[in-house]
Amino acid sequence: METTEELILSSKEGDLSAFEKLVMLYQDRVYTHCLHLTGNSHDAQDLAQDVFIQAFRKITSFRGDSDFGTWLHRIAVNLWINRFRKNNKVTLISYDEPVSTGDGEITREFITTENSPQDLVEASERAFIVQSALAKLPEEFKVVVVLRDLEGYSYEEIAEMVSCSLGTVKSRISRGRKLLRKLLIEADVQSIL
Amino acid sequence: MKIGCVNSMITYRKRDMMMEDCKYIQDLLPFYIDDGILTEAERRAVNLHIAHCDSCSKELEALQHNAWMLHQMGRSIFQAPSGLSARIMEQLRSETAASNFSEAPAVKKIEKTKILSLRPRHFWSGIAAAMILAVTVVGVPTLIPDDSSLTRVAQEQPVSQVEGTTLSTNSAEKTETSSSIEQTAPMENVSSNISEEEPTDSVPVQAPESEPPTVVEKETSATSEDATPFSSALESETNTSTGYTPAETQSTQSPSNLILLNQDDEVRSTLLKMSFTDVEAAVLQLETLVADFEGKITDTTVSSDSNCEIFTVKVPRSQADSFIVSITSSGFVLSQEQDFKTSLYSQLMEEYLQLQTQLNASTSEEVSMQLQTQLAEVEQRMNAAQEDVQYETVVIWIQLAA
Repeated sequence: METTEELILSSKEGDLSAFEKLVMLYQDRVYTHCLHLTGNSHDAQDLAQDVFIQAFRKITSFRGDSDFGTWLHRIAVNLWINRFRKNNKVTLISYDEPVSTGDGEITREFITTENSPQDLVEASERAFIVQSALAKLPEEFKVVVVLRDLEGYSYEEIAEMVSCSLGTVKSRISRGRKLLRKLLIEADVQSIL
Repeated sequence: MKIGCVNSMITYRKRDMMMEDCKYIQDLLPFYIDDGILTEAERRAVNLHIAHCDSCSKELEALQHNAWMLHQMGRSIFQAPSGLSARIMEQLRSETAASNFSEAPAVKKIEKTKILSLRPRHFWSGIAAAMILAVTVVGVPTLIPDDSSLTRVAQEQPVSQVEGTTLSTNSAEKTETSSSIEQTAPMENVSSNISEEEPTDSVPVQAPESEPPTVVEKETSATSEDATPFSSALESETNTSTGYTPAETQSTQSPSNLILLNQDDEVRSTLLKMSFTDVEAAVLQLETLVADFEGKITDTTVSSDSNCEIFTVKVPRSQADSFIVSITSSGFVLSQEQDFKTSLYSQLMEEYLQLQTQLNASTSEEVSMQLQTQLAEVEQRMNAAQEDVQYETVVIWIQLAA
């Protein structure tokens, strides 16, 4: 079986079948990342598709200094920022909502599950509330919070990914977290009422 | 003075100090949950404070809980919908096929198109298939970074040289690029000038005001006798005497910022593909895009040498970026990537956030009031930036080889 490096090398030579294998390897990660950014499946699919198309076009510029997955994430962040900077319309759906595909509707599945089904249901409900609050954050804040808190990128990596200074990233993370906290309090109050 | 009064004064002072402390500490709390962001002294200050401040202690707890929840969410990986990879590969295969289609026989096909696609309007006569596309953006702050280097590039280098660098990824390819249209480069050679992940790679070109985007000299040598339309396009650009001057045709506007499109492989193949079926396809595509984005073509002008047609498009401000993105994804590639940071609104937002941070950190009432005034001003400017300009003007400049 070919390694990721070999697949990347072949893809750089225009080998589409090698790139297809990379797509299969990374599509879940990229899709999840896109889902975090967009907050809904429809936009996430579109974004993920564009990410891979862009990645194939630019693959010769991938030098292998960073992980290929990280590189794909960067493309996703850039595309997302560029595309939806002024478009604040975010259609929010639950992670549990079925996905429409050409073959009918399917339910999303957790691949990595370390919890019981009950935990999953609760986590899923909570995740929906958090995702709802997250979606309400201004885009500038949301991107950095997603990258930091959901995906664990360092402040420096985020600064590079969103082309901002470290100070700006700090400021946005701080404000984003505070705002998220406020939104979650509001959501909790509403759920009690 | 009664002792009670003194006590209450002390209580008030303590409370004030406490509140100031809280303000300071609450600015640190969002960073407390990350390692290595706060200094040791700041961390100690937080520890000391939350030991006797319930409010801040609860705040920290909540922030930690939220971070934990987000982290948990981040650990889940969702399965990509079935069919996603198929759609990706389908698109890539069709693009590759289109690219292959424009390989060896391209010149002959273009020659044929040249006859078939003659348009009744005078400026289309003699059109060859290759098109060079440029976009002049007037008053679109998001596309024009406030960077003096733009002007510097335009002033220091003849446009031809700049174009030379954008034509292909390395100098060795320049001749190939300009002299041989039939050689469609494989996908991996697509220029990364608008690389999404490397925004700084792009080579923006901004013409000085009132200067025509003329090419002083053709840098590459298209020595082949049967010079291709693409190289002809380059040659036509070299004609400084008859070259199109934006200032002449854009009388009502001041196109001080010219952004040339890359003529990279991707653009070529896309444009060529369109010319195979109908040379007007590009224009049609543009018109469709404009309509899709609720824009309107307000002016159509022809350059003095009839080599190019210029469309002035008005797009709602809220749609302008998406419009540009769509244009670029339709094969019209901008040499200057849209910069998230450079929009006026975003700049003001940055300013606003910085002032807000200063305000949060401020312990002096006087400074706080000053900062609040500044904040209000910035807020007003932000509103103005959003409301003042309903439409953005994008001038799309299509140049065709004579």
